[in-house]
Amino acid sequence: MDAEGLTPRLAFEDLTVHVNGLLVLDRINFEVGSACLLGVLGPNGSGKSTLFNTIASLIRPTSGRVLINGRAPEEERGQVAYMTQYERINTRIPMSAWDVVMQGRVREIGWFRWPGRSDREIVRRALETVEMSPFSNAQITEMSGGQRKRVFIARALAQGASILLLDEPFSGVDIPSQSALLGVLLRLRDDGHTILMSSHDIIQMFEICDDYLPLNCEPEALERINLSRQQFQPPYPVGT
Amino acid sequence: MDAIIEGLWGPFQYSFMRRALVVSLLVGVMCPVLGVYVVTRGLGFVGDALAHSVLPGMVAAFMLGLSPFAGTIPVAVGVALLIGYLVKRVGVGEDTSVGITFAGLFALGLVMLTAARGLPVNLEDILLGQVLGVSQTDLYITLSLAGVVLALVFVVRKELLFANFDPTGALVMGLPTNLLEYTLLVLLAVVTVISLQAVGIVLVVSMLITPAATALLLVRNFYRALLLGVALGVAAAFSGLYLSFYFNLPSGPVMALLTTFFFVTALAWKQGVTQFASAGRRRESSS
Repeated sequence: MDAEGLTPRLAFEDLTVHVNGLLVLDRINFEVGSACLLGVLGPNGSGKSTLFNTIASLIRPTSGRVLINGRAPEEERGQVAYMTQYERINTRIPMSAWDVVMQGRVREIGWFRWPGRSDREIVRRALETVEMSPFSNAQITEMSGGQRKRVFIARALAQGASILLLDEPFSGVDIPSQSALLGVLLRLRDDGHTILMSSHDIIQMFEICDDYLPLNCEPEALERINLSRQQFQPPYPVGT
Repeated sequence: MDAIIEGLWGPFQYSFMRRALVVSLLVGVMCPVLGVYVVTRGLGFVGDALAHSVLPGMVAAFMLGLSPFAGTIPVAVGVALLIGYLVKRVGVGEDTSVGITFAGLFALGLVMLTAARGLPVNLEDILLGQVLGVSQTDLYITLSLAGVVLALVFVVRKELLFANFDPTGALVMGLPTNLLEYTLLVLLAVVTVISLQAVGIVLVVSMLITPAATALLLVRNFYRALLLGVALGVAAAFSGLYLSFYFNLPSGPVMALLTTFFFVTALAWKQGVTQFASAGRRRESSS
């Protein structure tokens, strides 16, 4: 919610989305406030990526709407950052962690200027927040999966985004790196960010998320999830 | 000393050599500037296709007694936009789109060239370039186009790089990624046409790709690669022109050979450095 507690950070109102003529999201109604880690759960093909693409304005809803701070996503573009999966990155381009995070400033810098002192300071702080300052000159292609993800989160911070969309953030990340990544996400959540994480691995999300949005999950499966959640112990220490 | 100065400046007592030098240097600058974007985006053969595709426009311009630019620029820009449209809207693969336009238009150009007898140009000059034949008007057009291209690349440099690196991230941030993609293709079309004068249809890729690829091999920062690419492009253009003058060789192929020489040298140097470093690591671990 905003300062007055009236407008949710992110809201779906009867959100219905078709992709290539197929109904993927069917009348979703949901609200998320600030300082929230929301798990978007569902099996493969349940519409998790479609939901993220709709929030990010990459897909138009068939009916219903997404509201960001009470406004259309197109009006709040800078507020949303999508952590792209590494497979979609063009690895032919030499790019250090610093270069990647500086991309978060592109809109603010504008067409004609070079990055200024304030931009460099923002990038430095973003790298510090995700504990990647020692790797600022390292090439993105030479980093581990967890380090790369932290760099892309730093880019979102440099952009000033308040909503982070993380598609399968823990896939391809080893257990110690998962712990470090999770520590960063929890700190960002505590700083007021709204973080949406998708995963098909429902068990993994239990101790992480504040709230859940199940997509196309069978009612029996949800019941099992709630039951399992009470018995679940995380396999690694949460936070760093 | 006088002999050295005479040797250096001697070729430029001729106005055609001065014009050739300016055009060659502009090509040496512009090709790598765009080349680093083209190489990292995997568009190298789009440049090759554009170079071949402009042949009908070039022949038509000669038939009408116009500057070659009057025919090549519209055709190149049209083909660039067509390739972009086929890939983005129709879903035809990039290599397929390139193959279709490249083969079809080049064949049309060859038929036109054969049918229209008595044109003031021969196929060899078109294929290999003839920078010594650049007219004063062509020089002014080249200077103007180069100014526009370099200014535009400067304006969109960051956005183009972002869209090239992470198209989804750039789109989510609100960058006009489609417009940037078409801008890159149009810039590529214009630079290709300008470069035809110096290195011709067949060798234009050598100036577009090789200096940029050499630079990307040696440095790990995109903008430094751009600057190093420009240095290599200028060196190849300048040295190529000199060598062609003194040894009576065609300038386009000499420039292309020099860019290839730079690449092979850089590759050998890099391999040597890598092997030396790994041998050092082995020695450290065994001691």
